[in-house]
Formats: sequence, C-alpha cells, structure tokens
Amino acid sequence: MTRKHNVRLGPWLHHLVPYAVGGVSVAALTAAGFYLKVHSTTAALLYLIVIVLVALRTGAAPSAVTALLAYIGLDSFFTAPLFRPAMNQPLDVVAPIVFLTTAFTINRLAAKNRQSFQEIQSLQDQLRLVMDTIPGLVWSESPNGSVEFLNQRWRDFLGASSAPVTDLRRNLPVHPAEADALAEQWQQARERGRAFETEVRVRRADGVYRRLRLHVVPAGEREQVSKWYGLGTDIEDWRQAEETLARLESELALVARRTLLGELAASIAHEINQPLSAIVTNGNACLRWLGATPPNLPEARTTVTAIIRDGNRAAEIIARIRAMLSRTELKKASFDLGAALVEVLSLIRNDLVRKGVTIHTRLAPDIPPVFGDRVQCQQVVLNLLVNAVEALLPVTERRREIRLSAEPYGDGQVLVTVEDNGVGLGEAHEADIFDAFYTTKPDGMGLGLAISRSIIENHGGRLWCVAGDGFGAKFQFTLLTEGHAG
Amino acid sequence: MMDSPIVYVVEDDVSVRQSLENWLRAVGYRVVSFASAEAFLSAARDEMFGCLVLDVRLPGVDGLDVQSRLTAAGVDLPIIFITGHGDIPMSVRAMKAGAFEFLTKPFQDHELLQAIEQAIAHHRLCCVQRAELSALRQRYATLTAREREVMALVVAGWLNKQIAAELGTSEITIKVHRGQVMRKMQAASLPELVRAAERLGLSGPSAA
Repeated sequence: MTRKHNVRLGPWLHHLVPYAVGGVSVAALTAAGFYLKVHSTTAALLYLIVIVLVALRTGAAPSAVTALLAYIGLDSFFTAPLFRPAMNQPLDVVAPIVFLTTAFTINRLAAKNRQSFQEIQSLQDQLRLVMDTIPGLVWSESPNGSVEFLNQRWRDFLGASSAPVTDLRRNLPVHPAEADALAEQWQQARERGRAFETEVRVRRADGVYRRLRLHVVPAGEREQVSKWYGLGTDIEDWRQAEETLARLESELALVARRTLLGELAASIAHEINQPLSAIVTNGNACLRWLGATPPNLPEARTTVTAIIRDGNRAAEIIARIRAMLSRTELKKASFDLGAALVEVLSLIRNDLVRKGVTIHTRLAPDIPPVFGDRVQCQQVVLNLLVNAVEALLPVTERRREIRLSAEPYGDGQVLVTVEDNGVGLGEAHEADIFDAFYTTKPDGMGLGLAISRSIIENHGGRLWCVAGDGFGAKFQFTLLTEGHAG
Repeated sequence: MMDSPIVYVVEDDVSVRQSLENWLRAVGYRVVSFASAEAFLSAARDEMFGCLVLDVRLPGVDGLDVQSRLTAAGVDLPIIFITGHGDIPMSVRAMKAGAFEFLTKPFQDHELLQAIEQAIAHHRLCCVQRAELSALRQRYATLTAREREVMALVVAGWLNKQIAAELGTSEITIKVHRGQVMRKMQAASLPELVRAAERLGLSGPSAA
C-alpha cells in the first residue's frame, strides 16, 4: 500500500505512514462510532476489522500500535465510564487480548502469503527465462486452438510487427504448398487426441521460409485434452546441408553412371564400326572388280566372302553386347512390392521436394507378394520416376504431380503405374522410346527404358506406355505374383 | 626411284586392313600393309614413294606419334589419317601436325580415292623437287673454289669488271670462270643461275 506514496516521501516518513494510517483509521472510526452512538460490541467488531485490514497490509509494529489505539478508543468512548480508561468490564480485558492476537496472527499470515507469492513470482520468472532462452519455438494452446503462450523465440520468429498470433493453426504463415497437408495433420491429431510430428516450411519475420520440425503433444487423455504443447525446431540449415550432400552424392552417382555408359557406348560404337567400315570398303572394291574389263570374278567372289564374314562379325558383337546387358545375375525371390515402392520413394523424396513435385501414392491394400529381383524392380520404378520428374521440369503453369500406384491385375499379376502430368511424349512414338539409344533428352543415353523393359520382360512381365489422362505420360508394368512366376 | 607409288596401310583391325588392301588393289595401286605402327616404323625408308593410310587409334602407339616419328626419321610420306570416331580436336591436331587428310570410317569410295590421288601427286612433286635439289648440289660440288667465288659475285649482280677488281685479276679470266660456272651448273641464262643459287641457299655480297 505504500508504493504510491514512497515516490515523494523520505525514508523516515515512509516508515511512519503505516502508523499514521492505523491512527487515522482508528480515530475516524472512533469519531464516527461515537457520533452515531453505536453499541460497544459493534464498535469492538468495527475496530477488529480495521486491525485486520491494517495487519494485512503493514508490518507487526504498526498493527500492534493500531490494536492498542483501538483498545484505548473502545475503552474511552464506548464503555462506561466514558472518556477515561478503566478496566471495569469484561470487554476491557478481552478486547486488548483479541485485538493484539488478531493483529499478530493476520500479520503472520499475510507475511507468509507475501513470501509464497514472491516465490511463485520468481519461479514464474525463471520458467519464462528458460522458455525464452531454450533453443526452440515453444508454445501452448487450448483445445479450441487459441494460443496461450508463445515463447520469445517464437515471437521473434514470427515478427513483432505482424498481428499477434492467436491461433497457430490458422495464423501460422506456412508455405502454400504445405499448408493443406499441415492443416489436415493437425486436424487429425486433434480429433484423435494424439501427439504428432511434422516438417513444414514457415515464413520467418524477414520473409524467408525456414523448415521447422514441429512436435505437438496433448496434455490429458484422449477425450479430455486440456491443452496442447508444442515445440518447433528450426532445421533449415541442417536440412540444407543434408540436401547439398544428397545432391552431391546423386550428381556423383549420375556422373559415374554417365561416364560408364558413355565409355560403354563409345566402345560399342567403335567395335561395330570396324566391321561396318570393312563391309563398305569391300563393297566398293567389289564394284570395282566387277566393273573392270573383263570383270575380275575371282577377286569379286573373294571380296563378297569377306563382306559376309564381316557382316557376321558385326552380328556377333551385337549378340555379345546383348548377352552382357541382360546378364542374369538375378536374385529372384518373393517380396513385398509396397514396401519396395516406399523405399524407392524415400530415395527420391528430397529430389521431389526440391523440384516442387507432389507425389500421390496409392497402394492397394491387397497386393499379393510378387516374385522377382527386388533391387532390379526398384531400379525400374526409380527410372520411371526420374523420367517423370524430368518431364515435369518444364511445367510451370500447373502443379507438378506424379501418381504412383500398385494394384492386383488379372490372374496372378500386379500392375504398377507411374503417371505424370508433364510435357508428355510429344512426337515420340511408343515403339521408339523403348529402343536402346533413343532419347529425347539432350544429355540422355537412351538406355533407361530399354534396360527397364528388358528387366521387366526377364521377370515375365510387360512394360508399356500410354498417353496420360490429360497431360503427360503413363508408364505401366506388370510383375508376376508368387506362385504364378514361371 | 620415281617408280610406281605404293600405298602403305597401317591398321590393326584385320577386317579393315584387308578390305583396304583389297579395295586399293581393285583401284589399281600397289599396297603394302602393316598390322602395327611398330612394324611400319621399322620398315620405313626415306626413299618410300606414295602415301600412308594410318589409323589414328592403334594399340600401343598413338597414330599422331607415328606422324612425328616419321618426320623425325626424314620420311616425308603424306599421311591420310583414318578414324572410327573422328572428333574435331583430334582432327585439328592431326592437320596442324601436317596430316594430309583426315577421314572417318566408313569412308566413301571417292573420298578416299581422291585423298590418295592428291597425296601421291603431292608427294611426287616433293620427290621431284628433292631430286632436283640433290642434282644441283652435285653440280655445285664440281665447282672449284675460285669458280664458287665468281658465282657468288655473279649472282649478286656484279659486273665482270667489278669482280676482276675485287678478286685482283683480269676481266678475261673472270669471263672464263664465268663460262665454266654456267656450264657446270647447267644454267642456260643468268636468271637460271640465280634461281639455282637461291635453291642452294647461297647468298653473296651485294654489289658495291
């Protein structure tokens, strides 16, 4: 209560204020009571109230003084004989005892109360300090979604200039591409009363999108969630480092693969070019032998024999390459196609996110195990997905989407579909795209689809392509299920 | 030595080598072929006349190395490079190093024929010039020391009188020497003698 006054008062006066308050209160009450001629018991009760009030707000000494003043007032003005103190009634004895006891008791209770209040205050300050210092974005919210607490880091992250965030589920500046997914996840978690973890890009105060890992947990049981607590961690730097690493790795792998394929193709080209060159030269020679006068038939015959020999040699080289490409080191076994597809998706996920491609996966629940070389089948799917992504890169006027699905197909087969809404096949014909060395990409080798098709055919399946529904292309292949594989 | 030209073929692939041999014979050339660069280099002589058809990609030795080794050995056969995969940097390098032609397999009949004909014509010219030069050298070798002095001054445009004064002798003597020089060098006129001196790389003191 002294807080208002101590601004102007000196330290001495400051100490006297509680006494003055007690004295003035008692005096005022005495005057009022005497004027209104209240009964002594009533006066005693009123004095008691004053003592309690003074004791609540001040120290022990002022309240004791107030109690004594109150006793003197009661004894002098409300009990006979009036105007002079005399211990002649029971009230004269009881009153000082009650007054003083009340003053001390109330005073002690108030002191205790004040102490625990200070303790709570310091605990709260400490907690706030921890919350604001902790390297994370901490918040709590009520079940209806209104934010109850946001730590300083969160507020800094979201920016002080923006409107105060009252509902994270609505007001969080999530990247538009991820907003729907997050809202859905949040909604589900809320309905089930379950904790959830997710990664989203959120716009920071400076306008930069940062990737946050959010971990939200409910307090209380399923039906009676009383509060939600959340922790967000900024993993943007970490994620970027990881993505850089992954990109370097995949670029390296690509370079290695290209180099290998490039060398392979160059050496194949050279190998086949030799007999072809000999055939052409011998053909020219043969024409000259025949054109001579008279025609030199023995030489012409020898030359034609050489041509046939070289033609066969070229064919042998091609047969050898074919055998090499389809070399059967297959480890065929029965495997879970769904799990294999999920693995492939995890490989390509970073790439898809970076290139802004959304993938919709639909795996039928009743896919029987298929029979084949798991890794090779995964390579085929990966190859089709990579092709789809490349077909999507020029697309800017619509969302880049890939649909991957797997479902049972006819008797003992499973159908896998990779569909994109990319640029499509254009002029290319279905018959050509599966040919080796046919490519529409400036830096492509044109081997991907050829190898994919030979892999699938080695598995007793088929790989084909149709124009997509609307835009893009749709590649489909079949695999045999366990028990139907020959 | 200027008998009929021979086309030398160096090619490691037996089919290509034999087809080239066959075709060249059908065209009417004499052919000698080698399976390796080493075999050809050990057989190479500076009096070879004709041209060389050389595969750029030979096992062991780079076709371009063969070219520089031939040049070092004084063999001036024009070289027609053939390659299974002619890339531009390689052909540029070969042409800069003095290749006569650079052809990609499989070659067209007329392309190779034309290249070989031109190469041989070119080499024939080189051989003729080389033969003439060696004849000139032989003639020059028959001159006496005094005759060489006189020839140097004559081709430099000095008059007989000046030469006589320079060499401290009579004009008549100089005339005799001069006549000997013209005869021995088989020069019908002064300009012819000057040309011969130029080709021999002689240069006398200019007229005073």
